[in-house]
Amino acid sequence: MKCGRCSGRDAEVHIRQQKGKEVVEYHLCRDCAEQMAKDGLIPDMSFDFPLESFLSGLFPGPASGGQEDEEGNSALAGLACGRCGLDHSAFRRSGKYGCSDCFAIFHDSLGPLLRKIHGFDIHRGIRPKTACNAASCADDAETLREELRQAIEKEEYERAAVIRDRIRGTDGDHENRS
Amino acid sequence: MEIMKTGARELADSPLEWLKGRGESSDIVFSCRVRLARNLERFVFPWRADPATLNAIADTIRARIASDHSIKPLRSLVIDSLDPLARGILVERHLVSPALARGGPGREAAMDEKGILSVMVNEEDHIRIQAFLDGLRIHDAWKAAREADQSLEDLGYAFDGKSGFLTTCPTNMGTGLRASVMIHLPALSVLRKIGRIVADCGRIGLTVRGMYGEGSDSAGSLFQVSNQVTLGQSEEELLEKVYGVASGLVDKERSARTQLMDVKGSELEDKAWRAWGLLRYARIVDRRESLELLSISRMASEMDILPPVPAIIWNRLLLDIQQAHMQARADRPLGAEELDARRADVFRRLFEPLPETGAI
Ligand SMILES: [Zn+2]
Ligand SMILES: [Zn+2]
Repeated sequence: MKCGRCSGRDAEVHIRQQKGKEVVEYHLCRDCAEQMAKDGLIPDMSFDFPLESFLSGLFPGPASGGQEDEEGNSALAGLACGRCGLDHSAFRRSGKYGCSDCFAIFHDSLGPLLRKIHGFDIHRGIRPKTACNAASCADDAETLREELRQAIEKEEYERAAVIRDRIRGTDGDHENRS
Repeated sequence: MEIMKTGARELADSPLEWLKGRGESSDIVFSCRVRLARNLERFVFPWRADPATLNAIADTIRARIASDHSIKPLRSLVIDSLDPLARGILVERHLVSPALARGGPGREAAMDEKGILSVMVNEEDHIRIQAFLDGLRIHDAWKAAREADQSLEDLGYAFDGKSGFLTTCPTNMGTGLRASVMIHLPALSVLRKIGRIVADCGRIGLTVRGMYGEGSDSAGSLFQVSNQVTLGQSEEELLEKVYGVASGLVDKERSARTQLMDVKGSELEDKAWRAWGLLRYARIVDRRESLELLSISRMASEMDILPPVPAIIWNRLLLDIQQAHMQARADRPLGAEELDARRADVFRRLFEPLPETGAI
């Protein structure tokens, strides 16, 4: 298979990316993939060579949305993490979080971003034992039920199923504990 | 707390469990790896941390590793204390990533003496746990990585009830788990079926990359299959997916070998014996050619066209012909041409004394 961008070299990098409800596929040669990753058009697939700024194209921002008004933009631009100092533009440029507080600061873009990369935004794997005392699990269950309601409303049934599993998981945890 | 000064030669000769090649389907799946990305709640992530903080992170993790008997004995290496050659050895063994090998404050790695486990400290995330095993023992590799993970989790991981383990890069969020296998697919490559496989894998969220890809195809027909997404599926599901696809590829490769023998038997035999002849007698072999020779002769040996050679020897050769490994065993710096000659020496020393029939 030839590279879909330059049509010259053979395609070696194959990427499947969720864009909203659509799935876009790229078949690229190494050079084109590197270039597109640098341009922030595709995520970087090499797992040991983090490229600066490779994800910036995935981030929702003033340019891509076009719906935010002036105030919205300046409010976003003013966001910065008080702990690690990462501000909104550095966050968009680098595609990286700076500390665990950043996830709350840049919370609004987190869900959409994770859905673009992974197709989902809810963790279903193991949890550190310290992270699941009864109180925080109860909070989680509450959030999850709200998520579930929204997912069903938007007819995102696959996502709803994942959330339902997750809710069952947290309930199960409580039963085991008591 | 033990920090040892370590030489390249010693690192090049230290054991790696996967080299033994005894796991399930380890004739075709050379090794598997499970990697976990973790961060500590109480420190900012490495790329935002000043040198003092990076050192504090490293101290914290090193102290934990030294005090916990369940993951001992791991020995800690400070990257800056290693010479470039020693770092090259660790990179060729995948125990340390090229990014971490660049060094700097607080950049460390800890590894066990069997060569199963490596913990990278202050790479992109505070902690990157990796476990390597032979063949399709991906669930065992997960257990080994998870054991270290459970020991380190008392340090207080950055974790969110909804998003899972928090990582510097959103591509690792959730489980932080990347499971991969290094798989040898020479017959499928010859039959030009790799493109299709790559596309099929992409469709179900797996990535296939050439291990030593430079040009159009992967040198030595070695590929790495790994999960692309880390969030929204459990660890068990992700592992099972990589395991399932890899074992499917093993079956496909086996039947491709049979098919190859049926349609191109004499051509295959000719190619195999030519490769064997070069391994025994050539005086200059460059890196790419060496990978091709190893690939065809290993397959032909497994198909009983060539004499049997134990998996551990094939696996060792893959490492021993790499630049840092050859340099570490030489008594003086080698130029590019000398490296090609040295590579031929490595092969000749091993293959020339081998009988051409019967067991070794
Ligand atoms: Zn191209
Ligand atoms: Zn921050």
